Amino acid sequence: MSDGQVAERTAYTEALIELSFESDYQSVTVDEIVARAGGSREDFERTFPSKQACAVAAIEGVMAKNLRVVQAAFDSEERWPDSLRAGAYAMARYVADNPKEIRFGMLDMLWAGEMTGALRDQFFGKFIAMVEAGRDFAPDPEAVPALAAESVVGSITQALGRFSLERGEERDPVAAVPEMMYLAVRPYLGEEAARRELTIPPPSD
Amino acid sequence: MKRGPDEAPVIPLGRHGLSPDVVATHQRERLFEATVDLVAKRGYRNTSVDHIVKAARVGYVAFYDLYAGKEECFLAAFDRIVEEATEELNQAVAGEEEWPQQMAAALACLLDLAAADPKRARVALIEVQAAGPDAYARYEQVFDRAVPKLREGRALSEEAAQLSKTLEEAVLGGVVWLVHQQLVVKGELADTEALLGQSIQIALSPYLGDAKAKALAKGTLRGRARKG
Repeated sequence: MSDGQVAERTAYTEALIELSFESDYQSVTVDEIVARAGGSREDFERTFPSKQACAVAAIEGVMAKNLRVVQAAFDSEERWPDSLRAGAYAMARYVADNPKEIRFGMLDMLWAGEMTGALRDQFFGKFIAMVEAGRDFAPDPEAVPALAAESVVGSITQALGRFSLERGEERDPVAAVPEMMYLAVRPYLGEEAARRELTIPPPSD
Repeated sequence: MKRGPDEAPVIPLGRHGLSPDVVATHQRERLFEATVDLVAKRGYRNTSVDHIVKAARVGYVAFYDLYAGKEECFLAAFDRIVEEATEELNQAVAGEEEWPQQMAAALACLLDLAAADPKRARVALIEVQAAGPDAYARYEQVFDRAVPKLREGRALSEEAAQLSKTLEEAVLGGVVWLVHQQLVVKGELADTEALLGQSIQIALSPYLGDAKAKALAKGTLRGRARKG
């Protein structure tokens, strides 16, 4: 794909995300996407067979960018839960800085069932693995419930759903990180280590 | 036993002598069954009033006499599912005296309901989140109603004051997500007992401690196995 084609694709996916934020995904038309992106109907149809295909490309782009940012932060620390905390702050900042993308991903794609199963598994699987890395550091790894990580990621996803519906006006995802870390650390390292998370200040940028 | 729209009672054509209230009740029932069935299969967004009235075998005029549109019809279905589930949950909890056993019974009841009728569970836990801000707000209200009951568990914790402030929301969110994932990925709750054991442990450990929560999970599963 040429640079021009990539730029064209991005213009359409960004237009769809913006328009979905302003109204809702379902009511956005291809003509509106084309007008917002400054393209033409012919160009759009050459790039995407449908609005849904454009939406899938949009959500793939959002997920890839989000994962890149969070994974890099996670990998910057050697020990768990330091690595998870770094990843959690990267995630929270991403959510705070990209409300349109998060709303599109959560409400228009995930809850609406537009996200494909493979994409869901790939995306949530990475975050579950970051939490589940705590098992290697647990005093009794076998005592940790098998679904602990999935439940933690689920709690956070539900919280993000609330945040995205409020269009980021009322809640601060960065301020919620210590509470999320408490929840994530508790099954692996116990109550005391989890409570310590509530007192650790956010890292400076 | 739950009925599908094809098995719900149909008003005979022509003169039937039934009062308008009885007719409206029958129509509401058929619309409820059709809405749950269609929304669970097609998703809220891909279900239209057209789909619903055809499946329910109810006329458009009758539909719009009862509801302003698809959203109102969906919200009525959501409210009914929640109301009936709440009744069952209250009964399950009333059979237990202590808070830990009450919570275990509530979780068991919730999972049993989802396993027995995955379509209703899908509507109430998944599709409601895609059905617009009013529906989402209603889902949130239901969610928030459960928080105070769970918060009572802090009285059992020796260090209640130091527990995370949003623990209850997080615990509920985690359990709902586990059910949600099974419904999305498998379309049903495949292994209710395993999920129940894990849910009890995950949800109640912060209040009871790991050992007691694990023992409660085991005891609950043993009790259910005995009852068959």
